[in-house]
This record gives sequence, structure tokens and C-alpha cells, in this order.
Amino acid sequence: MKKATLFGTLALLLSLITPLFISCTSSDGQKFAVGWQPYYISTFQVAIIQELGLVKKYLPGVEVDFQEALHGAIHTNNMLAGKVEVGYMAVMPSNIACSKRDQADIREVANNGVSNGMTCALLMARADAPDFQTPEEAVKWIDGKVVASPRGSCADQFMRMAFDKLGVKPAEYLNQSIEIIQTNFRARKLDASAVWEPTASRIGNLAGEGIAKIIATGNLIGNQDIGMMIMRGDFIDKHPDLAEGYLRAELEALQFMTDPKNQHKTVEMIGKYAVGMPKRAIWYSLYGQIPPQVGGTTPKQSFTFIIDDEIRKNINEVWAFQFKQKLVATEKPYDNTIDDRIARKILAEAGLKPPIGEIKGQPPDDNPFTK
Amino acid sequence: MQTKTIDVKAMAEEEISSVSQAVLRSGAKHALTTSTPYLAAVGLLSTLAGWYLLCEFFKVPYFNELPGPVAVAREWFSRNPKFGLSIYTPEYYQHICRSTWRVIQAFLWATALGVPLGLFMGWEKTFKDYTFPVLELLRRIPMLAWVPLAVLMFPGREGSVIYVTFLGAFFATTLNTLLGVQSIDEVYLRAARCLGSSSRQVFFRIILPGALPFIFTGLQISMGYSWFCLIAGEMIAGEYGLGYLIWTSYITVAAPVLVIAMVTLGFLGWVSTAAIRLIGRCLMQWQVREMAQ
Repeated sequence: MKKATLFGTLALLLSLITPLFISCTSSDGQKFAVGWQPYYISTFQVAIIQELGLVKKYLPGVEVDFQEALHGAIHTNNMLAGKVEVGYMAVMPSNIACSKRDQADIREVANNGVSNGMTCALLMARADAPDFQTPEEAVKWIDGKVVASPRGSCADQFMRMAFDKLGVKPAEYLNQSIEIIQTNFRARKLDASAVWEPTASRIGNLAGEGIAKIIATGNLIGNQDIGMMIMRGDFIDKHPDLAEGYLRAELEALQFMTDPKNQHKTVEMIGKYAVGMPKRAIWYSLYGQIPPQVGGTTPKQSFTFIIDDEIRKNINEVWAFQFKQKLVATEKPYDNTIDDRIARKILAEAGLKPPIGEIKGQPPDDNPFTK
Repeated sequence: MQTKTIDVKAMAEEEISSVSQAVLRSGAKHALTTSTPYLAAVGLLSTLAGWYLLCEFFKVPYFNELPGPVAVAREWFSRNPKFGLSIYTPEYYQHICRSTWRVIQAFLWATALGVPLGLFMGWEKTFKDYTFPVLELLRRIPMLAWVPLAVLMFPGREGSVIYVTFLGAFFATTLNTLLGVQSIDEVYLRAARCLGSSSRQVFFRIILPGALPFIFTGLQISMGYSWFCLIAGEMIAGEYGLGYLIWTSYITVAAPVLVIAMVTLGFLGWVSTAAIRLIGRCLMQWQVREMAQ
């Protein structure tokens, strides 16, 4: 019995201390990790960075581990745990990541796309919903309906702000993952949902399955969709050369993506990573026009690269909103939450001024992909 | 001369009831005189102390990323919780009630379907030969893999959640019931048949009581599995539930709330399993008496 007790105690201690010996890949000066989402439009340029070999060009001899995930929260947790140094996500999840100063110093370092609610705040209704005259009418229709969006995402941010500003109260507001939302649309269990691209194009009637249709965008409440790049503060401070090299790769990838003559190549590259996403939908999510009658505007996206005053204002507004929702602990961002010094330096050296590129939005007939 | 009618059945039931209560009381009293409850308390306190030392006192690398017991307790018992959830917020109890109700439904369905199926599989070899391979194939499929199909199969939302929760419990109940029937010594069945018992009598007098200990073991396991599978099911939930709370806490990086939900779930699982164990002890007095002898 005594031997069994001793053995059991040793086994318990061993199981507790084993994690200490498991190597946790992190920056050691020659290697770092980037977390991105192949199924989120504001990170599509990461596919281009990899396909064009831009890491070799701007970071020779450095190994970059590109980690894929289905949504930003996974990278948030990985960054806080020190497993990932660079992350891509929308403003809402990036604010949450930056608010956890007791765990890690994470900063917003660059912008990778601004849109008037046409990339991340697309309100979709089931296919047999009525045809609305205006986006306002569409949003009023969801009063008393079953609506869903993924918790803590840019789409969730748009929905909560829309409910607040327009006095809309759905019968149920569900926080479900984007995969469950898609399945619920197929099963006709949902009346409406806010989702991001390219899922909106995939399930929508403009280039996709047609199980849902866009009825409004974030433009309705002046909600901008902003893609952010975030980095760990210790990575920036200890390895500014690596941070700069990666940002240079990011700039070139964005310029490639926004060049109209590269549309076909861009979609092919993205298609290799967004497995199962039809190229037709990828093209439409990036380059297709959102109809003006549902709130589409031109340009569809513009890329400032740096975090300008308008984006700062948006970050602060979203932060204040999140504070009310108890998603962040402080009323305002920390002093160095926004740290785009390196991005500004790169832009200045290149002699460029924001925006560094724009995507106008083309009609559905221009889609070169049939599936 | 007046004759007295003696209600033998009532007397027997009264004696069994008083014996049950005496057994339970003596069982509880006996338990307190052994080292078991005290060692259990020491074990729990040591785990708490270890958690505190690793995460908050010594801040051991990697463990320092986790919320410690003080941070969790601060949130859990706060009147103005940082993340909006504590024992003072009604949402906490809404999550508990919704999850508990889902588990109860899933467990009852698993019992209602799994016990008869297991009994029949154990009793009829031909039926078992048809069904066992299918059961074994389906049992290995992880609960998460069922989530998309569950959404498509059921008209509402609760049905999908309960179905995913039910699956884990169902297989555990069925298999343990089957094992219970198979554990009955063949001699009893032959003896009963020799004495002219009908199939119905064999089933209700030998098979069912003989398999009961295994059935109750299976029910305890299946209750645990129900709580376990609830996490996968509540991915679909969208609103309330401890599993839903775990998912949203992960997404919004509210680590103390995540731990609160996990501990609450573990506690509820423990209490519900203990309740089944107690019910089993009450129903199987013959086994309790045998063990006491």
C-alpha cells in the first residue's frame, strides 16, 4: 500500500511538471510564428506572402511558422501564451488581445484593409426572406427573429451596435461559430446572421450556394470593418529587424493583391490555403461589388497600412463599446496599444502615402471563375 | 373469535425501509470513523494548494499564464465581477439550470433506450449479433463529429444539443447493461428453466435483478459522459449553458470565467453521479446487505 501511494504521488507530480519540459516554439531571433485565418478576407495577403516567397526576400535565414486557424480567438490565446508573435484579426478580437496587459504586451501595428462594412459586417438573411427596399427596412425585419453571429468577432460587434443604435430586438441572438451558422442556414433554422467574407459570398446568392442573401452592411450604422495586424511587444522590442522585415513583406503582398492584373493569380494562391472554398466565392469576396441597395459603396476596400486618425477613432469607439460589454477591463486603450511606428517608417522610406491600394468592386458578371 | 388480518407485504416493506435507513445511517456513521473522508479533504486541499503555488505564488513558467484559485475566487464571489459573471449574477444560475435540464433529458433518454436495448442484446444472441457491430462502429465516433449532422437532423436547436449530449450516455448505458446480463451465471438460467419458469419470469426474476448492479454502474458512467458530451452539444446552443460559457470565455479570453464554468460543471457532475449511486444503493438492498456481511 505504501509503495502504491508513493508511486501514485510520483505519477501525479510528474504529470504536473511535464509541461515545463515541452518545448514551446517561440522567437529565438531566427524563428517566429504568424497566426492567420485562411477563411477571413483581411488575412488573404498571408497566402500571397507565402506563395511569392516574401519571407525569404525580406527575412533571409529566418524561419516563419505560419499557423492557420478558423478564427482570431485561437491566435489571441496563442499570442498571450507566447506561442505566436504576429497575429491577424479584426478590431474587436485584436482589442481583446491588446487589453490583457497582465498576461502579455500586445500591440496593434498595422492596418490591412478598411471597408464600409463590406468585409466583416455583412448581414445575411435566409434565402426566402422578403426583398427589402432599403437596408434600414431589412434590419427592422430582424426584430423578433432568430439571429446569430460568432461571439467576440467583428460581425458580433456590428450586430450589437446595430441593435443598440436602431432599437432592434431579435427574439433570440445566438452566439455560434461560423460553421454552425452555415449549417443552420442550410437547415433553415436561422432567420439572419452577420458573417464575414468569404463565407458571405460562399453562402450568398451573388456567387455562392444561395442559401442566404445580403440584406445590409455595416455601412448602415457607420461601422467600419478594419483588419489589424498585431504583434507581441517583446517581439517588437527585442527583434525590431524581424518585425520590420515581416511588415515589408506584408506591404508588398497588399500591393500585389490590390493590383487589378493580379486578380486571377491572387485567387489561385488563396485557393490553395482556403481549402474547400470555391474560387468563385473567393473572387467575389475580394473583388465583387456589394449592391448599393443593400448598402454597398465604392471602394469596397482601401488599404492604409498605417493606423491613421480615422482608424484610431474606430479602435477607441470599439474599445469603449467593449468596456460596456465587459469584454475589456479598461475604458480606453493603453498608451502604446497602437504602435505603428515601424509601418510608418516603411511607408515613408518607400515614398508612399496611404492608401497604398484600393479595391473598387466589380459586377458579378466579371467573375472569371465558374466554380 | 376475531381474526387479525396481517398485511405481510406491508410489514416486509416497513422492515426493508427501516433496514435501508439503518444501513444508510450506519454507512454514513461508519464512513466518518474511517480515514476516507479526511483523506479526500486532504487531497482536495492539496490540489488547491498546488494550483495556488504553481500559478500565483511561485508563478512557474507556463502555469503563470493560467488563472490561479485566488483570481478565480475573486471573480466567482465578486458583487461586481470584471467579466460579468459570479454567484451574484442571475446569468450564472441560468447557465447552470439550462445545462442541468439538458443533461437530465439526455440521461433519461439514454436510460430509456439504452437499458432495454442492452437487456435485449444480452438476452437474445441473434439480436446481439445483428446490432453489436453497428453499436461498436458508432460508439467510436467522437461527439464533435456529430455536431453538423445533429444540426441538420433535428428541427429545433435544443434537440440537436440534447442529441449530442445523449450519444455518450447512451453507449455507456447500453454496453454496461449488456455486460450485466452476460455476467449472470448460466446456472441460474438453467435452474429456472428446469423448475418450469416462463421466459417472462426468467427476465423479471433473474435477468433484470441480476443485471442491476452493472446497470447502475453504467448509469453512473453515463451521467458523467452526459456532462462530458454537453460541451460539444452546447457549441450549437448559442445562448445559455456551461458548455456555451466555456466556449465564449475561451473566445473572449475570460480565463477566470472559463475555470468557474469548468469547476461548476465538475461539481454538478460529481453530485449527479453520487445521487445515482445513492439511488442504486437504495434499490439494491440485497447487494448492500451482502456486502455488509
